[in-house]
Amino acid sequence: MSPVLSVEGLSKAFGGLMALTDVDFEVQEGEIFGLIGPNGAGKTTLFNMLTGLSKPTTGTIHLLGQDLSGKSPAAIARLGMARTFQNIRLFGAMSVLDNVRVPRHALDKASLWGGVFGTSRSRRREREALDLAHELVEMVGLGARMHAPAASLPYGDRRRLEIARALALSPKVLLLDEPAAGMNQAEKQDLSNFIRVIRDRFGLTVLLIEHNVPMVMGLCRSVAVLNFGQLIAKGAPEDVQADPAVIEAYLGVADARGADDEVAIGGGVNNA
Amino acid sequence: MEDFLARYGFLFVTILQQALLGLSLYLPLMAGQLSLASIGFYSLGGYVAAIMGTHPALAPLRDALGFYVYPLEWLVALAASTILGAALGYPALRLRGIYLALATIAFVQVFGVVVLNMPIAGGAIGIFGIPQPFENRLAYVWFFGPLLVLTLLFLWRLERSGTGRLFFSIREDELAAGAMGVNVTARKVQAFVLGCALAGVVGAMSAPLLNTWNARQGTFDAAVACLAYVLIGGRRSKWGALLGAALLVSLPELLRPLQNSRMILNGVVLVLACIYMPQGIAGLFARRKA
Repeated sequence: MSPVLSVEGLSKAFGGLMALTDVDFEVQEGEIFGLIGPNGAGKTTLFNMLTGLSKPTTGTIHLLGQDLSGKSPAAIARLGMARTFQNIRLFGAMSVLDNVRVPRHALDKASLWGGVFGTSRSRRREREALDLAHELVEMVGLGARMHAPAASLPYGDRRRLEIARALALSPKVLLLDEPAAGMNQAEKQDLSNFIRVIRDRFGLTVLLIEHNVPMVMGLCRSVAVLNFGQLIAKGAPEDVQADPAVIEAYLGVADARGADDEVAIGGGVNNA
Repeated sequence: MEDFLARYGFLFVTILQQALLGLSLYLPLMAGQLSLASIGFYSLGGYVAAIMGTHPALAPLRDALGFYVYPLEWLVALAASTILGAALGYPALRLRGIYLALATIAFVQVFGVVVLNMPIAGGAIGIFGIPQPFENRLAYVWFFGPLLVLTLLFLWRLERSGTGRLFFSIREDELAAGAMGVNVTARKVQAFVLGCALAGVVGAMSAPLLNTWNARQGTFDAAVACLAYVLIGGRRSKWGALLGAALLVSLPELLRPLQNSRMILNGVVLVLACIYMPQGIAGLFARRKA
């Protein structure tokens, strides 16, 4: 079986600083794939390259066998790669419902004159977009607030709205950037269940950045660990958890090795 | 009543005309793009109408069409503005924020210099003796009034359509819009060209009204005046351009009893409005509704 998403030899340099170095991994269909690592390890940089927001220095990304090199973020999104943002980026002044309608209109390539004159094709698509938006907004539990501006929602609701908006793209791959940030234990459990439910219902492959190790271990079938831009381990959660390199990255070791100093300074700059 | 209309008829027509120019700025602003190019397209449209209305070679056409030469002028101005707008939009809209504003001001300046040196545009004197369809200036309401109604209807439909939502998504967060599949560049150009086309038609309607047309119609000052309508009226609502134009065009008239000090008060009103109404007059209504 060919992977849904495959990343080969991916590197990203910001000037002389290597934010990512030669990263390889594959994500299989239907998987919930966890990406973990300390702050500044390059997780979000990796997401930005997967979604075309930033161009890789070297390396390739394939989505469903298609090379994404040189494609715009919008084209990549329409091919089926949807994401949420670590620092939530909703369309603040637009209503909850309108936020979720936008990706659908983008997929439809909404016609200006069709919309203004209300052609039957345009009206049908508007209705479909609205029905889908209703369904998704209800599913994430925001049915009662669907006409409120997105910016007026409390933090947790905004996170859920962002997921609903990403789902409106009918994606093959959903990238979640720290979806559990700021949640308590019970909410994290709910979120884990929710991610499984949407994976099954929409036939998704999920790629998840998360700091909370127990959550990742419970949810993901495969995990990759980034540290200072390098993939230091990948595999089943239990194996990764036992990997000495991972333990070192998270807890540090007593005798800091001189050879790592240069890399450590680079990572520090990346953090800041 | 007749006396009132005779005195303020021109003012009323000017309000409609300036409101339309304000709306031509609002269109790109729907997609978050601050463009001051409108006045250049207004100038272009005016030249199209002036040349079509006065050029000797076109006399048979004018005789054959009679009054219908005016709608034809609008259509030609519309086509010319759309083409030039698209040609300008694709490179210019790679710029963001204040840089786009500066680039569009540069366009207005360059356009002014170019027409100044084109023999067909009459050089510094411009084109004068442009035929007028109406004897009375108030009658131009029949030009600008229907155009304003049509534009507002268009905007009302647009804001409730998929394309309108795509424009707004770019205004709210361009990066997120791109990540949600919105073809950001194409949509920005679309919004920009709509504004250019509207400004071009307004220019074509204005040439007969003013009777003469020259490079002074498309100056930086005029561009800033249009910007002021949108800022004072409210840049996030189509009513903003209308309210802003009504206020700013009539303010010097309303303050006429103050004689020479009226321009000072005019300036004070603008500054206070910017400080206390960042969302403009339309913003005050929106807040009350919410």
